Amino acid sequence: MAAQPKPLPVHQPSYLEGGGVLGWLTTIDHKRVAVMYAVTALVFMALGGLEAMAIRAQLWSPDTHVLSAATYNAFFTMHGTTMIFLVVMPLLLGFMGNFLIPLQIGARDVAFPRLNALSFWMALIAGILLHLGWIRGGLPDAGWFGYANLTERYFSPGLALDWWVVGLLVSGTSTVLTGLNFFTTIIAMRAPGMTYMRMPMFIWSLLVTSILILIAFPPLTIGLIFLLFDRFFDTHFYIVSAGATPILWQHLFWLFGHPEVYIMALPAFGIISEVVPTHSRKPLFGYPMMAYSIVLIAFLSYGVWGHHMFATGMGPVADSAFAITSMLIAIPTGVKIFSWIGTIWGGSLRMTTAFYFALGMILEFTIGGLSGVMHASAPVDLQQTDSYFVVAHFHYVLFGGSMFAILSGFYYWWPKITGTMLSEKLGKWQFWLTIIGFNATFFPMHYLGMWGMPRRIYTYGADMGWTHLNQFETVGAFILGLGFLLMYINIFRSLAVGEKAPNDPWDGRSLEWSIPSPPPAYNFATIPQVRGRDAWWIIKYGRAGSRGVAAYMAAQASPSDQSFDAARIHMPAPSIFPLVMSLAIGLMGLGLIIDWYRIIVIGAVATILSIIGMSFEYPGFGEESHDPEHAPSAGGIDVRKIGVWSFIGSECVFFASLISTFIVYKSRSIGGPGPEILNIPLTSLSTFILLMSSLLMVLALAAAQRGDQRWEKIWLAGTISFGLIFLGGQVYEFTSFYNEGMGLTTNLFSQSFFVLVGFHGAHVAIGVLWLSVLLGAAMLGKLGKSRALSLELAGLYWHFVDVVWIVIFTLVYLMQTVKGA
Amino acid sequence: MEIFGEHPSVPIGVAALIALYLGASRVIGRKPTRRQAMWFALAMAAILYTHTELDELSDARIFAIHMLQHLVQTFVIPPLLLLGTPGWMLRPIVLSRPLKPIFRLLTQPAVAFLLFSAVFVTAHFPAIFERMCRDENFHIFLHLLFMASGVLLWWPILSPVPEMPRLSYPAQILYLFLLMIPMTAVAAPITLATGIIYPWYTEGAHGWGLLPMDDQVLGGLLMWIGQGSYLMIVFTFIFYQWSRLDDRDIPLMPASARPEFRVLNPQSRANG
Amino acid sequence: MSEISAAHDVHDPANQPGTTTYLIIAAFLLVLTAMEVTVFYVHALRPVLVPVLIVLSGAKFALVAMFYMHLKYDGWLLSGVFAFPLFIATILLLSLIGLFGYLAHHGAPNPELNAPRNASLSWKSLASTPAYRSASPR
Repeated sequence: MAAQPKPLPVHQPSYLEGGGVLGWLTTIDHKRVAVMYAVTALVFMALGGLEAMAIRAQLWSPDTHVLSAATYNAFFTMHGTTMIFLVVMPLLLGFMGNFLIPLQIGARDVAFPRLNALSFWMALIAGILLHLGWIRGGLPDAGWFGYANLTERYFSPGLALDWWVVGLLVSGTSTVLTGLNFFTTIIAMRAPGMTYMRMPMFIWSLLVTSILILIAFPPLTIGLIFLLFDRFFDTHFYIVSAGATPILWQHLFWLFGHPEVYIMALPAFGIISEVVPTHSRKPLFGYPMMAYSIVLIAFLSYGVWGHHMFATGMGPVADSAFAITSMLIAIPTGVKIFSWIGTIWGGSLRMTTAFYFALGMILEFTIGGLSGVMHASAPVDLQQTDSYFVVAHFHYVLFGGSMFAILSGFYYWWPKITGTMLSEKLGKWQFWLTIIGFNATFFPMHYLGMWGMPRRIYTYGADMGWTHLNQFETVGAFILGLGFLLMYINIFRSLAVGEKAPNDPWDGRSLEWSIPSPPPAYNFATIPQVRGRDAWWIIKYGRAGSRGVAAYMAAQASPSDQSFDAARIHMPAPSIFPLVMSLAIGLMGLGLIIDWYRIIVIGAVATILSIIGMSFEYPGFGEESHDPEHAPSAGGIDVRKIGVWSFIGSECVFFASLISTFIVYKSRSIGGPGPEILNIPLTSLSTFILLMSSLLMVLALAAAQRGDQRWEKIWLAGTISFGLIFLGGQVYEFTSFYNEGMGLTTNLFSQSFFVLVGFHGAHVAIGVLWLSVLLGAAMLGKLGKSRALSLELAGLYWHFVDVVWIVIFTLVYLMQTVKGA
Repeated sequence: MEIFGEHPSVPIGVAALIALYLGASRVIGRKPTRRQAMWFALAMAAILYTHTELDELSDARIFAIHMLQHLVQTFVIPPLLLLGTPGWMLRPIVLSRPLKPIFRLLTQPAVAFLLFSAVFVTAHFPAIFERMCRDENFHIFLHLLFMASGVLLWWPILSPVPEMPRLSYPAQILYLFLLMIPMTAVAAPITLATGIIYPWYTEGAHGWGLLPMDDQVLGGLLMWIGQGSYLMIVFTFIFYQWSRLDDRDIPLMPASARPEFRVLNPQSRANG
Repeated sequence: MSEISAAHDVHDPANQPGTTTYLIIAAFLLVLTAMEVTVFYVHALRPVLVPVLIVLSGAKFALVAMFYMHLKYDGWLLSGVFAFPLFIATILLLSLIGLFGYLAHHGAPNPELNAPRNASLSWKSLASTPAYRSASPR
């Protein structure tokens, strides 16, 4: 060892110390972001829980009027939306994922810390937007699934659903950014020695979940964008009289919605797979099986969305296909249950609250899984659909599965996060209240459903015979509420008087237990070397070649890594821009909804300014903040490149949804012009121009890599001007369509054409802006050979836009233009 | 003998392959391992069965059996052949001077994938499929082409020649995932079609008393679900191989190297 | 077994394409686009227009992705990050068209679902539906 180890001061400040309020507002530390996610999610959880209890109070007896019918609708909508988008996902991903990914893979932060902070602030803004209906316009009331065409302006006038659409768009964007961030982090920033097959199972589940997020959210975004256009710009994507079909919304929504179920379930599986082995003091039984079944579940989850739509009449072939794939999913899921049981079997169990909740999850999730298999059969589903049986099923999956896992993980990791212990006694009380209340609330719903009680009704007649079970359920719901009250009490008790937590209270297996509780801001003073699956157990209890815990601790106390310097360790600097940008985005949404255009303009300007501000903060442009730790790589590929590629992957699905809508809708168009209006010669010319701009782009990159600044600038300017010419051509094309009588709202063909091609044009415009910023940097001499990567990233995006155009040109222009005989 | 009945070319071809296999072993002076010999025997049996028994049913205008035949030709026989043929038997040929660049190109994953997809998709276009049903020589040619392009397809998964290597395990999984695109592109239109796509099946007695339309849906489903489930099973095997490889103990380091810890990035030391 | 499956994500900067490659690819792209437009205007090719266009544009797509976007040189990881979503996107496209096309023919009782349309999945009917056949482009 060349470097003389430099001992650290005895007391290392934890990530929670210092900075004040401004420090929290500008933080980009993944642990602080995680804590902020937790706080907001716990607030929203209280809100969603109270809504649920109000719902149960209303259903206490026949013909009650605790809530009006309209308020009831708003409450079940907000309960569902809140619990899914603002509670379960933020807790699983934003909170636990954010906190634990870097700790478990042995990294100092996530791949893109600023983006991470942006995700959080956007999620918060989305939550606020969704709840602004309390103040103005009323709460959204069309169900969390927002089935078209109930959501159209005609059926739902007022602002309620405007809040919902805009809120979900912002929330979806924030989640996609999180997915991109997690994916890149796990791919590129694992500690040396941590191969894929040595990752903790929680990391496996988050890796797969982030892939699911990247691919599943675009269809929702597209569906919401169509709805936004329908509500604000008078198109008719879901209006039957125009030839459109509301079924399209269902397809787009469930294309997102079913993978979404697994986005909420897979991390829960991951948590259980961490808690169970630690508390059984055995390695996870069947590790490769577990990893493989996660992958398989994720893959199959794309092929099952139709089982939410059996009642729409998709025909026997489609029904059978969806039924088969839905039943297949039970196999990998069953594998997981058996693996957990196999882990517990013969283990020396330590019965903590965390383990109680894990056991509860295995039990309740199995029940939910069994009723899930029943829904997979189309004829059975037709009996159960829209009844309380379905409500019972998804609460067993989402509460019994995801929520129990969240509670288990919460009790398990709380000492690491705060440095204090939760009360085990209160915890056990909470567990028993929760499991009793949960089953009392939701189990009778199976019976009510089979007796014919429909979902989403605000009251029922006394002659239906549903009264007693409903009263039983309401009692259960309040017991459940009591359980959660205990959790909040436990949290405050622990923060106030909780005993101090040791570093490793549960004799953990993974690396987060090897560092102080709460961890220092930089996590690991020395990045550990991983030698097997249960990395921390191997260090503690040995395996051939391991030198044990003393040596490990010595290295953490006196890092041999000279890049480490506790005073100015290479942690990225805090930034205010994520907060500013999210506020600006929120302003834009607000302005759109309350029809105040000045606010939109302010929001747009602030967004663009903060993007530019952030990009100059970024190591690519700023001085000396460039930190090798933060540009790590997988197989020689920079993280930023992986990030851009995963974004591009997500965009593929985005455009595929747009293109399929166009193809489905163009032939349903009623009246007005059709594909014959398209101008092939002009478009061919545009295509040539866009292809040539791609050529100039690679030439610019080649020049930059050679260090030839002059040609770099010339080619870059050429690319930009070709992009502008393309945009000009598009403007000309659109104008001539308007003049020929084809506006945005003329018919289905025109609206799906304008939205598709318009979104592509918007991508080109963003590309032009991006390249212009780079050209500016090049003019200032800041885009030398060493920064060629910045150009490469912009180039990737540019070529992707080009590739999308190749597809659009063929599918939309050439194939559709041929006039019908 | 019955197997010589309609298609004498099949037993002759199989006999020639076996002779080649034994001959090569003799000339080179090495014996294939028992396991390799077993795989090879299985491959021969599969070829023989697919082109005699199955072929008769297929000629009796049972579309589903014809699809099964295509699946076996592309998904079963080629992997068996690759497993059954030792690297030392192929090396003199594929690494010989004139052939090496050609094989190198053909066994590139992208090239092999695209070649196979092109062959498989094109062969199921109505015009070509019809010709195949009516012209026996063309039929034989296409089936040989299926097997040949199938060998290329599976090469990146099961290559016996290290010089033309296999893909890494995760890449193998991805490669096979992508294979579902051309397979679905063939199977889905057949399954979901609303009329008879290949008129030959309506032009005579239909075996097993199946209605041509039902038969077509059955054949489409067989290919759609059959290839999907088959590939799932293959993924499982590959994943297990990967997990075994990836969790092997790393070898001991010298004690002086402080084995648990390592400087993350050697460059950062220079910078510091 | 395992020694054959060599890990492949070695990034070799010496292997980068040069200006000549880029120009050749550009020439290919232009020729392919010209072919697409030509095929579109040639009457005799109408029946096979769809498959020919798919092949031609697929080739363009692959050329840009492999050479301009460097996938050919960046190892399998990035190809995977791109190819898997692309796979899902393709399946999504095919299945949505299929589902709606299927609905069109097996009309569900709801008359609303039987609005005029002519999408269909089989190649034969695809090539022979009025939308793809006859009539000159304007």
